[in-house]
Amino acid sequence: MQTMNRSILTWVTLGVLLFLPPVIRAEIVKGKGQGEIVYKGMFKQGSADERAAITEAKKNALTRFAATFDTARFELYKKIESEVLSSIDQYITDYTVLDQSTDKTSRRHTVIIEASINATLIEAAIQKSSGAAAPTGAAASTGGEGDYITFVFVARELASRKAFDAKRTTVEINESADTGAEKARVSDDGQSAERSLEKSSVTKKTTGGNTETKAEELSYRVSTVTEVDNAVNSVLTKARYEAVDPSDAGLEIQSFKKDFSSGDDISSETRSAAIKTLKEKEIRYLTIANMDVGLPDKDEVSGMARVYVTVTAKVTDLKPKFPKTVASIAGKPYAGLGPDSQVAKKNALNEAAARSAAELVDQLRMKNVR
Amino acid sequence: MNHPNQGLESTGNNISVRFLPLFVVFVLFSSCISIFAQNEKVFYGGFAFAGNASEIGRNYPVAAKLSASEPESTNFFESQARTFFKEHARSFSKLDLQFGLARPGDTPLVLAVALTDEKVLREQLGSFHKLVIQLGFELLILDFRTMEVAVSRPIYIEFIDASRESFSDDDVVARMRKMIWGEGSQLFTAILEKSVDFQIRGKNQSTLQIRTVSIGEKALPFLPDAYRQSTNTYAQAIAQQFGALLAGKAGLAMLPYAKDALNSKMSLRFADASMLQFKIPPPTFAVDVDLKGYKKILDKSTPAEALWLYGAFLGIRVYEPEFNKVFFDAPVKFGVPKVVPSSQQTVDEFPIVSEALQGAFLEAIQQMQKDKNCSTKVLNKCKL
Repeated sequence: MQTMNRSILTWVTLGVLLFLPPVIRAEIVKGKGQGEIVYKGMFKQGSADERAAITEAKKNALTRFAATFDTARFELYKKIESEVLSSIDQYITDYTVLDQSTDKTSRRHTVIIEASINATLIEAAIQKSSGAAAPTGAAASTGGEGDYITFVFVARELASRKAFDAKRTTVEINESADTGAEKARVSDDGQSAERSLEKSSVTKKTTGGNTETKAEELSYRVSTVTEVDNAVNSVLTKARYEAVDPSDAGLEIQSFKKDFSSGDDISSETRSAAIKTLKEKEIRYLTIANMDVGLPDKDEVSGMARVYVTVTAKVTDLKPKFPKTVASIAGKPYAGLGPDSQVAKKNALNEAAARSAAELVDQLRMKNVR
Repeated sequence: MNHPNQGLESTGNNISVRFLPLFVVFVLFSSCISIFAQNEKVFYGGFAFAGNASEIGRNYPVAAKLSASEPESTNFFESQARTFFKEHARSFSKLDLQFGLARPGDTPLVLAVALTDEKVLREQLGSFHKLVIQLGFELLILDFRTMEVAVSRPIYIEFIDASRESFSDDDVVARMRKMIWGEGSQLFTAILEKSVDFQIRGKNQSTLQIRTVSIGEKALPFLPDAYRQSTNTYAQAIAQQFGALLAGKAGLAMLPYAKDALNSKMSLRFADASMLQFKIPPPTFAVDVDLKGYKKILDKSTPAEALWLYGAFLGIRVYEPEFNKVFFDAPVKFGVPKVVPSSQQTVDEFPIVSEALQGAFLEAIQQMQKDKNCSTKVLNKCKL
């Protein structure tokens, strides 16, 4: 009976494995590629030369796909490119030949294919290569846990704009000088004398000055958004970073909000306090980002409301004696669409948070910061 | 001492054990066949207006009026479409059409009908008033996971009427209502015709898209004012017509024509006021249509009548857009005769050149099918 039970179990398990649809689906993207080889002798269909041309086309499709990555991700991809290209059939699940032609004069065979690229597998390879899939950097030394990272992402909208008139200071210097010549004339007979005085006056006027233009005084409404925090947390966690909620890390969020309400960076007091707190709690990385929410406009294609969010962010490594910036984003805009401006703003913030966090993660991986 | 039945029992067990794997294989094989034979679930999504939400009133003035003519709770187009699809769900034999709410884990595919084009042409010809209503639709399967247009089937319907009285706005709304109301209407008859072979394209199925349509100067004198002033609008109508013929006559997997090729997105506003934007994926192959012009020549003339020949002249180019590999590039022309009695003062030339254009499109499809290179490398790969 035990044999029978084992047999049933084996078959049922096999059946389940074979016929149940996979729970996790790989992301397959379509991409085109062109391959060309120079052959020797006669070209034959189905020959090694034809297979070589198809392999070249597959490689080209993958290279073209990688060209769509942002700079940091592309750098990470370059690290694994040779490994990926050497086992190309793993990453290209199938393909369709769109065209092939043979030029007998130059002995060239060219093929164009449309390939199905397993983007999930490429992402896994990037993660593996950058160490994100393994326990993080300090894991080996601390026995399991990596370096902690915390983040403060604040969203801000313009609340008021105070413009100053240009201040003009005028300086005027007036100089005047009198010049004269006295003439005396004695008559020929010597009986009388005549004296005359010729006087001229010169006035010099010098004007100048300066115009002082004072920058507009901007004040912002600053807020933190739960969805933004969740989006950032999700990106960091998926990349295997040990993300710590900023309030759990002991950061004074209000100080950050106050600083960003009138300026583009945090004050030295807020920064010093944050560094001190995080060092005490052995949190190595601090990410600060401010997301400027623009005014809503209309997307011409969809007719929906569109809001742009511009992100400025940096990650600081607090471990060295003097904290240093290890990743940064300077004023990158992200757009969000929605049926009204509120939904568009929410979508733009989520998009900006997720994509900027992903870009920071790619930059960190590039520098082997784990 | 052994029990007399012991041996039998053990033999029975052995038989069970021996045949069980076979039985399991049989059961799994049958269920596997049924899984593969089953059509993919597609949820009914509803009727939608394509394009900018805020410009529905401007792009589809008559349809918007018709839509609003019903009581607030029922959208005219949506109620007609829902009734039709519910009654004819089985006609879509290659889909498993579902109604109701999709649960998490269900298929992300949704069937929708979108109005993409509305043209109303009113003309006075002598003492007659002529009305032409042209409507372009897309029967779509939308993938909500990737937010892409998975399948599209263009549908083009036209209604022509003439009267001694001029057509009021209400008359136009009434005529359009007739084109859509009930299952015997032009729209639903066209959809029903396409229901049998409307399916989700295979994983490696190639697609074709009408990429650009250019209108030559020699076509302009034959066009009604509305088209002459906005050739983009006429280009949209041409793309719709040719797309419908390529899908219908050649059975090809088409992607919707995008007015702005650089921003290939399709916005849809559904009856429940939700506004969604879908990406039109890059096509495998593209078609450029160059309408060089229309021409008319006098063939014969008698005191009683004159025989005119109207011709449509096209350039059709089929190519792979990323590497610009051209598979078909040929001029196509088609002529139609028109007898004009001497007593007739004016001739409405647009329907005649439209007929010539339709003929040129069919001629182009025939040429593409006859061309070995285009047929094997493009059409066969795009066949549904």
